[in-house]
Amino acid sequence: MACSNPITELIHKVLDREASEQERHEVEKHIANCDDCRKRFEQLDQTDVMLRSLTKENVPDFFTEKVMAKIAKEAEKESRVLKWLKRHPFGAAASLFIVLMAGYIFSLWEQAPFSAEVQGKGNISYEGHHTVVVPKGETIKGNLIVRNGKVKIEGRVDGNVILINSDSMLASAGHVTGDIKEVNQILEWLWFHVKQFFRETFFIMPKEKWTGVACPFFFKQMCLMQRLKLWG
Amino acid sequence: MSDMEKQLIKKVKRGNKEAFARIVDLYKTSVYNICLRMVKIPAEAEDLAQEAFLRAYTNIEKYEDDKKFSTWLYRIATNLSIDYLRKKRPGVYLDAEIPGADGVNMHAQLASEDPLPDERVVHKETRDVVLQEIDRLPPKYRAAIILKYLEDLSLKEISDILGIPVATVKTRIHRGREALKERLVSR
Repeated sequence: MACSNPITELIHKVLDREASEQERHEVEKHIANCDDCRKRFEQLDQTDVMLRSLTKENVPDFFTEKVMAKIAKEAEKESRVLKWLKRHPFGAAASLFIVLMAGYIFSLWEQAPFSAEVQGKGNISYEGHHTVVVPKGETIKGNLIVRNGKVKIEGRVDGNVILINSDSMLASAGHVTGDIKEVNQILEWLWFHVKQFFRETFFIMPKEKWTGVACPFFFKQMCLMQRLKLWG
Repeated sequence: MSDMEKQLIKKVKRGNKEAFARIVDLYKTSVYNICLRMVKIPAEAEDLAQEAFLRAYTNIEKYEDDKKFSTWLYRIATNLSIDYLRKKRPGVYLDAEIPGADGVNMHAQLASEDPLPDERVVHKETRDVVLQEIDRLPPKYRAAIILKYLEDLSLKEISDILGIPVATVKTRIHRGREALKERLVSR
């Protein structure tokens, strides 16, 4: 005879120790008259007893030590960069900024057009596409900055000539009282701008004092930003 | 959860490794045995249990004090074990329904004429048979049975550990029990 689902449910409820007094009676009453269900109940009860008798196995030796060793290893594995980033969120932001800025500056560097700038007084003339000339007899009081071109100095420069990615063709008659600086590497170029910025900002700074100083790169970037803005 | 345990966990959250070592000592037997019954192979179970503790340590901030620590820890252990089984034995096994689990049909049992095992005496042999049969249950039923019988946890706790409703836990335990009955009794 097929017994209903509710009785099966009740049997499990009894085994789960969740059945009420009344429900237990109901099961008892039923299995007293139904062999199938009695057998089923007994078998399930037997299974339950077997399952309850299960014991736990011993944990392998040095388990805790092994876990602690793994934890120590894991701590080492966590890359230093990540740790640094976690501890210095500002540093992380700064790093991102530097990366983006570097990309931006690099693109500027790549596209930079020919230009010549006189910081001070004096006239210059142009020859061909990318050549700037300081004419004979002309004196430039101040610095001459040339980017991505050539410079021919036939006159005088009372100051520095700064060649960014540029060559100079110094005529014999030409004269430069200051230095001729060639800036051909991107980092030099950056550094040059930074120095320039400082010199202008603080005015009294000696020419080369800052060159060897390990000024934080981030700060240099900030300075450069200023410069770029100034130059439009 | 005892006050001592709460104190230990607080210390762990502050980065105290000694305190965590004590937590491991407290729970290693349970965690190891859950993993062992889930995956069967002792070496794998040890790896999984260690991994469970490692994850508990690295994610200790995610543990909320108002819940039972054991529930949280066992959850990590069962999830790792189930993941392991999924990777090891993919496909049919996991979603397979237990034969005979549809306990509604009483006639299914009529065929079994075998005598019952000796009255409530469980020998080592029987024990091995029980373990073997537990191993044959699909992982989700196995997990429920293990947590109930080996850890003696309440249905509510099991539901929290497995992340399923209490009603589902009941169904799994009932079906698991039915399936085990079939296999144990027919031996």
